[in-house]
Amino acid sequence: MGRANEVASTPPRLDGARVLVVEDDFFIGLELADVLSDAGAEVVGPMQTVQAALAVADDRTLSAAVLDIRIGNETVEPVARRLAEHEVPFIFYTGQSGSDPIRTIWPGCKILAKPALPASLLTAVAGLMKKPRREQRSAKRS
Amino acid sequence: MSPTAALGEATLHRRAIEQVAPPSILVDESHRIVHLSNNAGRYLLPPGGPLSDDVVDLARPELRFELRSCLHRVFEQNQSTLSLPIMVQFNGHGNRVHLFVRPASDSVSPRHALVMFIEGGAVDESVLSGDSQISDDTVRRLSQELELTQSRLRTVREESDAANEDLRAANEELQSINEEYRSTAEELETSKEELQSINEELQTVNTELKLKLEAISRAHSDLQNLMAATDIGTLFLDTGLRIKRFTDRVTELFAIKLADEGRPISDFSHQLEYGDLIKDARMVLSDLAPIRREVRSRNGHWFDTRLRPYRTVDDKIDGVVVTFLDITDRRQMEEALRQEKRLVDLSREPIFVWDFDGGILEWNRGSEELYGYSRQEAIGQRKDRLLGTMVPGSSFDDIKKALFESGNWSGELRQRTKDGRDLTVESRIELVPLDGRRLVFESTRDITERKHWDERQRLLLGELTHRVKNTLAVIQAIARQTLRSSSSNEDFIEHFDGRLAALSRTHGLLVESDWRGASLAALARQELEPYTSDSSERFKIEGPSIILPADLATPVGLVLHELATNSTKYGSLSRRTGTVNLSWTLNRGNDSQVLNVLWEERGGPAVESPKRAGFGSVLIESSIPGAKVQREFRPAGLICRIELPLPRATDNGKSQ
Repeated sequence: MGRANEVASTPPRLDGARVLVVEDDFFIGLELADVLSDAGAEVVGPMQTVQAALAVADDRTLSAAVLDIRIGNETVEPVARRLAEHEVPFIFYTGQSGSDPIRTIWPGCKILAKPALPASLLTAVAGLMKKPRREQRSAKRS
Repeated sequence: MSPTAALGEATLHRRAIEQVAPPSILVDESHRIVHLSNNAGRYLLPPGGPLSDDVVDLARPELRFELRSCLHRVFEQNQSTLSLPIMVQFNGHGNRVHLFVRPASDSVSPRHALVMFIEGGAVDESVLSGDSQISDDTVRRLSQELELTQSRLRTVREESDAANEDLRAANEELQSINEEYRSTAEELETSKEELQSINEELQTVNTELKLKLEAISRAHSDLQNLMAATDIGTLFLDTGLRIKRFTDRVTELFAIKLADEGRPISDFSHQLEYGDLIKDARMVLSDLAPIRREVRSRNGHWFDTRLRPYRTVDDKIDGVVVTFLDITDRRQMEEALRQEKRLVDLSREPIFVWDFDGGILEWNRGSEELYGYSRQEAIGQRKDRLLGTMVPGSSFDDIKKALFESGNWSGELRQRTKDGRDLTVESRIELVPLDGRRLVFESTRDITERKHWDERQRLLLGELTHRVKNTLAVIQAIARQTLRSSSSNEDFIEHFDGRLAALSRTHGLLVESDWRGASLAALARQELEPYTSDSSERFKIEGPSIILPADLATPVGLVLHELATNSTKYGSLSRRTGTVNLSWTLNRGNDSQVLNVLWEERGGPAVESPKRAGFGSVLIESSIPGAKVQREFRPAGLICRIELPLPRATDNGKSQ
């Protein structure tokens, strides 16, 4: 379902992208930020609470987001909704099992299972940012 | 003879007529002379012998023949007759005389006749003298013969008359006899007809009797066959309780033979444990009420014994009929059923029976215990309504369909108890048609608890998977972060091993508490003990009992681990006399509480800030969510302050 694409031999670059990271675990957030930064992206976060994430979700310059589903005792859903409103693509990065209700709310979204290889993460985020362009093209054709 | 003055002129007239009228004689039916006229005597000449009064006898011989026939004609045919002239000799002179005979009255059957003699004058002798001389003798002879013959004829005639008379009488008799015969014949005819009809009736009666006889003999033969074929022991007793008749099965119970008919039943021993048989039979005879008992025989069989009065066709009581029906199988089945029912009732499993189109029929103790409704409350109620049944993931229609197709269904149902508790049960339903009714046998098992546990287990498993994956991601991040700040493989391995072990120890504490949290004291002890094994004097742990929630315990454990490792490498624990003092306080505000942790090193070498902030420093200063961490690198030793706001839910220090 939400599996990342096959790992490319060289991970894609994310130069110029602004990526929001929402992750309550300090270590995972730290590592995510490092991986994304190493690929050239500008990282917003990692945000450890929903409140903090919402505070930056309205930033129109965001290119993509990586969201942990469970943030403390809350879910990341309000953030996801806000991002969807602004048409910012996002992936869920979660250890949650398949029956999570978030999947029924966001049936089309990408889910990356924890723990993922840095290359898988980068491929998935890069895929997110290509997607809208492709959709625009198909819309023009029709 | 001289007329008197008294005589009337009529008499005078009659006398005159009489003097002029020819002589006459009045004769009755039997020819007897009733009256003579004055001058009639000249025509009479009585014959010799006894004097007869018959006019024919008294008349002159020449006149007799003619007179007889004339009289006959008068009396028989009522006709007057004037005869031809008859030659009559008066004193040697022949005279012609006519006879005139007529009925004396005009009646139809005259009783009297008047005979008149009319003289025609003297016959001239000369006329006669020519032949008289010659024929006189012949005439006399002939006339005598004639007279003789006439006399004979008269006799014959009289005889004939008499005979005729006789014959007539005989004839009349015969006629009357004949009539009698005829009437007798008619009577006989009638009798014959009656006989015939009686005969016919008899024949009909006979036919009927024959038919009845046939019917009776058929009935008798039926009875014989019935007696022989029936499996029911039947014993007929008369009013004196003597054996009248019995079927074969009776011989199995009583020691009787065919020859024993007529003997009292009390003479015979029997196999039944039924000492009151004779008493009951007498009671039936006196009360006329049937008696029924279930009686055991000595060989363990049971008999349904019924005593009834024997009623004849015309409803008279003529003894007792005793029947013995072997009901051993039924008794055994009843007993088995009773045991089964007891078992069903004993069962803790709810078992109940309901009518598909009606209410509950059976409700065992298991049902009472599970649902809380007593038997009295449940019987008659619609099952689905009583138990508020719902079918999760299916519908009543599906169940009905399955029942009609295969006769049974099993699956999960939601039901509600009397006190409103919702149950999940595993139900087995079987539809059994019985006597036109559709009975449903249902047995349920309460799996509410199991379902609950199943759900909990499912949740736990999901949670566990999440934690494992999250923990793996944490380890991955720590590993990569450790690697980023490691100068060599050995360096990486040392740091990573230590951090992994610390993570694992915190994890161990959390598992012990079912992930509710970890005691701060236990956490500190675990992290410090490995480095102070030689003397527990070297570190002090002080503070109220605090339980850290799982999401805080992990980083706090790691931070303590980092502080302890750094201390053994560069701080107080790197010297034999160095000590660490770990203490904390809990400051409660109005709606928040803050944990203040103080890490104090003494007796170590002089410390200074690290040249660059490696992963270890980042870990200590930033990994605890919401915490403010402050490190002071004093010459006397490191002081680290951690100010950590705690959610109120973890405030369980008071309870300890």
